[in-house]
Amino acid sequence: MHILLIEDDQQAADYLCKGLVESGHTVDHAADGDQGLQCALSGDYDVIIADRMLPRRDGLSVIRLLRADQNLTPVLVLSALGEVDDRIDGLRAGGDDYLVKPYAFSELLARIDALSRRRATVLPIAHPLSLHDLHVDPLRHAVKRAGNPIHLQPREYRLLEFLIRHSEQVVTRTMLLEQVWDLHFDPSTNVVDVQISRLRSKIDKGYTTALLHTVRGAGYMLSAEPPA
Amino acid sequence: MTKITQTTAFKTAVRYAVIVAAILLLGYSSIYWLTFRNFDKQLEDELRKDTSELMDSYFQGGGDALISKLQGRGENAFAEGRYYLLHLAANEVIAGNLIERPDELPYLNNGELGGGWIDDDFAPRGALDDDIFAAYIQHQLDDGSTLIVARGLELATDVQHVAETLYWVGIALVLGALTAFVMGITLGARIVSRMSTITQTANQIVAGDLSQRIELSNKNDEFDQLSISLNAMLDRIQQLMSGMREVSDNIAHDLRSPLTRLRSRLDVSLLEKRGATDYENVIQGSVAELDQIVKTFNALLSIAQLEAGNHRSVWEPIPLCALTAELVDLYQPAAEEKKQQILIEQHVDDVSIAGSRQLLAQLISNILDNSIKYTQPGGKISVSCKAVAEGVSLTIRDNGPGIPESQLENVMQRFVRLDSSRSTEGNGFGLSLASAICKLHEADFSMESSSPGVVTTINFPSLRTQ
Repeated sequence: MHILLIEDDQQAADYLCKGLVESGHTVDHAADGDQGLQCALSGDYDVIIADRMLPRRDGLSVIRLLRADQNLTPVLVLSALGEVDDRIDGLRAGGDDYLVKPYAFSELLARIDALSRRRATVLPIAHPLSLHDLHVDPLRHAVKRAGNPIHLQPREYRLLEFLIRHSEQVVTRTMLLEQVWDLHFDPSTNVVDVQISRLRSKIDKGYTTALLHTVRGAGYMLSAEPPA
Repeated sequence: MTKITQTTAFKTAVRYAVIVAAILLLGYSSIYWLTFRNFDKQLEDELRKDTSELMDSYFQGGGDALISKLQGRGENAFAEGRYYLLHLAANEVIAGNLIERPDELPYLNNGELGGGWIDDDFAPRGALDDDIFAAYIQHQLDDGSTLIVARGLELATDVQHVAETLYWVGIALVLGALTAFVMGITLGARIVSRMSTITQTANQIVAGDLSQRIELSNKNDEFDQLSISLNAMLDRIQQLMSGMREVSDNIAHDLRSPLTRLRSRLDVSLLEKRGATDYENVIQGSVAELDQIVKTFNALLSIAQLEAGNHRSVWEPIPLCALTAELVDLYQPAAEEKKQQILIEQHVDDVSIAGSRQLLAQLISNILDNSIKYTQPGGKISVSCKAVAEGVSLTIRDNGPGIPESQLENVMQRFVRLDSSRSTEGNGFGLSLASAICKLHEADFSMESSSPGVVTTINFPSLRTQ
């Protein structure tokens, strides 16, 4: 992916660029809001990562102007401000996702991956989803694997639908908590892990190909192939 | 004294006095103008003409001629407002329709025009309804008698009545103004003295002694009310400041240990050359430790902000029972892992309370977390959420080992973990965060022994009373 990083902290930017490049992406770096806006308007990026506190022009202002210009490039907002209100401000300004500092790099990677994917594939909500021999019908909430119907509880179904819409992508625990359960805090018990293992036992047990994989240090992935 | 003259009370009193003076000045000027400047010219001419006629007859025919002329004018005179008097001394009347020289008519020079009151006592009984103000001309005659020719002034009479009233009103106003002035000074002095108590205490606080409070006078007046409010404000400020101090203390205490561990781990790993896997392990362990530190930091920050009432969260009606059910659903598999049961009492009516979904979710989650963590495998957790008269009551009960009575108060302090639980995961914040969230939602939070186990009860006020 071609990424634009708007970050004024030089060291943080260096590390981020290094990490992103090592993960296979190309990165442009702007050190202030005005420069960032210019790059965003003239370049063609898959994802923009914007820090909120920037010199010359703050991150949210950059996003607003981008949107006003009909530019729909997905934007991930990075911020030290982590209150619910701050998150809402960020999304209202036109941001697509909001990550509070400090964050795990794997979290950042998973999220920008999801953002770029969101832009690329716009399926109608009711369109059936499938991966390998697993089929999900969003209209009827019906799940089948190799022709056998699988009975899932409502919460298990919601989880699976999310995973299959993000198939071949790393999905972090935080993303799951936020987007499947609409919870923006970290429960101390490993509730997500347990939910995943329940789901796994229902969809993978007895089948030769494991679909629901754990990605160490990051999260989970639904994929026909084990993650690299 | 300058302080007193600066008070609003004093200034108001002075303003009042000035206004009174202005009104009186205006009033008397009008009356003067109406009475003396506005004589009907025609009336004046008539009066002069009348007087000359009478004087002519005197010059031509002497006193007798005058007397007879006067008698001729007698009958209709009262009705027409004309009054005549020829007298030697004040009450020695020779002719005319008045019975005596009215006291109120001062002596004038010959031919001079004057004005004065004719009391109805000086007219024949029943002739005058009331006192009348008259313009008159006086002549002292050679034979020693005095002639008065007068015309009653209706307008002037009315005005003079007003003047008399105004005279008394004026006296009242002046007295009032004086009283106001005196009261202004007294009130001003009182205010200065009461305010000085407040300003003195304020200065002490500014100098650094936050524990000072304003002394009340027990009069329960508006100054006391102000003092009570200010004292409450100071209590709050002190509370916030001690909260902040506590946070700094906590940060110092509870972040230093994990930071030290982290530092040691890294330092030690650098002591000798190690293999790549060793370094990887150190780095991974360090990252995990850092994550833990960040969690602690976030929790501390959250609690501090909640306790300061500073949380700007989205506040909206939240169906509490539905939210509880969602969270029970989330925790169900985790409980099943430990062979525990979470049972939720279903209720038909869901009541909404005003609050933040995220904070309430965190609250319920914390308590469920604790219940699952501290209850033995095979244990039971029952959750009940129902509408009660005052609002909504949320109860979570487990049949675990419980909390010793002596410790129930302490558990809500930050970082407290009972000795029996030191080995389990977590950082001891759950309950103090929970209690801070309850306070923000004006909910009543209590934990009791439920023998066995612990029952946590939270009572939320209903939407309308919040």
